[in-house]
Amino acid sequence: MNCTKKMAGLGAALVFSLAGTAGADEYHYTNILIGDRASGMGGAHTAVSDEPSGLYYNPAGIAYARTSNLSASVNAYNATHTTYKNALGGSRDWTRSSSSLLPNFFGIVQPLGKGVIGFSYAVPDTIIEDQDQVFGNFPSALPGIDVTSYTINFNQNDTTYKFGPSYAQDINEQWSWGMTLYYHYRDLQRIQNEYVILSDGRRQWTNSYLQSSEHGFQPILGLMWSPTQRLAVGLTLSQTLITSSTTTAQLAQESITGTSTPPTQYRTGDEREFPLQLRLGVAYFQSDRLLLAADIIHNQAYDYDYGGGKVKREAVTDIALGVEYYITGTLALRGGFYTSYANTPDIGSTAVNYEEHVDFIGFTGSISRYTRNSSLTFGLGYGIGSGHAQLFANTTNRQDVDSTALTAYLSTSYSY
Amino acid sequence: MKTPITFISALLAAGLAWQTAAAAPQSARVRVSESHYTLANLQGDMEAEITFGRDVAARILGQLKLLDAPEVNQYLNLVGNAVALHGNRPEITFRFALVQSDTINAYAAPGGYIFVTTGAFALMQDESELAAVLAHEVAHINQRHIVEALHIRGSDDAPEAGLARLVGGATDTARVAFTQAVDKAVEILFEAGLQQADEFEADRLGLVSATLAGYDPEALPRYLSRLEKIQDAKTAVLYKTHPPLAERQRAIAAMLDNEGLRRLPGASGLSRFNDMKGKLPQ
Repeated sequence: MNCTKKMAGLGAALVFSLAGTAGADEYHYTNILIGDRASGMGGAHTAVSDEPSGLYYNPAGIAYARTSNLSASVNAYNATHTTYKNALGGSRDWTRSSSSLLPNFFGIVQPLGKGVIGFSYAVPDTIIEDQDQVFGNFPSALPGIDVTSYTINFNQNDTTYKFGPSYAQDINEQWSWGMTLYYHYRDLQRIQNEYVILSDGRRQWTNSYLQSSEHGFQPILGLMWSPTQRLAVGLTLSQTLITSSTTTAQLAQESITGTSTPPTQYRTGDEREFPLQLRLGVAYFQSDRLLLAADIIHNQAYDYDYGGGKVKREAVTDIALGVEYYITGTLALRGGFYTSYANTPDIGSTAVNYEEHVDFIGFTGSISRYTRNSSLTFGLGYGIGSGHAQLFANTTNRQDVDSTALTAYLSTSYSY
Repeated sequence: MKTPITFISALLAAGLAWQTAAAAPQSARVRVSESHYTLANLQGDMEAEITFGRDVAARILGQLKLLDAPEVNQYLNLVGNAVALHGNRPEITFRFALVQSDTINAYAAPGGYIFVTTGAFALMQDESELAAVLAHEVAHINQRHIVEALHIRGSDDAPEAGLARLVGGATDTARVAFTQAVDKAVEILFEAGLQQADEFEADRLGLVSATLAGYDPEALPRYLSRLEKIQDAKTAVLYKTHPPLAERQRAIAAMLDNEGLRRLPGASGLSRFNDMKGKLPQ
């Protein structure tokens, strides 16, 4: 990201100088919900977790998986639409859309000795974002000169993958523990082209490219406590630790003065850091038909050095609420609510070069059909975000941002 | 950092303090979909149990040679089915056979396949002891101990299940899992043993069915007493896979006393048993 900032700094002589753009996971901790039951319940799953999605939410829960072997997979379609209002003034909005279809979870659990082992693959964050817009005939920052044409092409692919083994075991009838060790891999590519024609005939173009890959681990340590038969409390601690990272940025441009910058590369091996995350969940198994669950997810504030600058993130506490109800022995409905607040500071009226701050809330629902050994689930999630962004560097201008995120998924589980 | 750690510590302390409260089994986690069965499901389970048991029996016979003594094996089936009639699995056809081994043991594969070693047969002194051992093995099958331990179930032919298998890529995995389950069953029989509670239950139910079949209720403890005196390679596997004999004897004695079974008359079948012993191949 700071490579992008460096590039933005170079663009100070330009008519437009873009600020850094976030990757998919930069500013939020809940992006794509994982698991079939869990996704339908808004991600409130830390105290449930007794099937393969527990490998992700709370590995201690898989100690209570009730089948010898169970696999589950989720195929999800995600679409987001973000509008940066009045980005260029005069109701000229920027809009960026993303859509992707990918298997975002697979998990399998199996008893082993006195415990249960599992393996899972999860994609908690992905974005394939495009912006292709042309604006014309609006005032520029130069006195008496208008922008005849402004073209922007933006494309960003950013996906985070996690996969790894888990183990869980009963401590006694009330307690169990579990651990997942995920291998973390993130792949980011971003390309941005801008072409500006001014009313006096001068032109400006910018081409930038950013590629980043990072590797690391995410240990997840979980505890499950069942103080009564119907009540369960789950707790997980996790932190992603990056072991290697390579980021390369390239910029080429020609300013309105005719000065051109040949393709220039910036490379850094600086590693991102992630906060310690604490998930606390409560589940109430009211009957064999009704389940209520709630999670609180707290991510610590943290900061680290990156690319010669300082990255600062604020503490974030999100919540997730979920309900599951079986209409019949073979049909279940689920509903959920979640928040996904930004870990960046709000952008005040005097702020300069602040990062995007958009808070999301979301609603989820799903329906599952069960047979003896399998389940088939269709679910929907809809998130609404609002906040501010500063698209352009070195100015106090800020844009209102509205964003929506739709997820539709088909998931299956099969025990054998 | 301080707040979460303090919070976690408090949670753990509260949890440990709560340990004195009544135990909380996880049964409330079971969803209604998991206990929803159709007649087709039950039929499928039974077929799976028999198919699975047949594979396990084949593995046993791969390790222990079937004794070529048709008349004696017919006798075992006569006695075994007499006690099996007093069980709760009329849908199962029980098959009994002697296998050649000096070790003292008996094996019950799911689906009704029961094998007694020639070593165990040699230790028995009358038909009631044979009936007691066979009834113990029948009880393992009737209670589906291995089937439950390995979660053997019938296939799911619903269209949704087919789609789930397809999307989840479970077809090959299921085949591998089945083979692994057979391996696991053989491991339970020859090495790991069942849960101790299952063995005590088999003693209890076996005693009831052998007694109901008209055999001497004290035959099993008599046989086990003789077994206790043998501490060598012949009994090593049995000791490894079963609870200590002294504990079994205590539980059986308590049952005989509490249920008043000692007062019941029972047949020993001594002469017929001795006739059959004489027909064993030399």
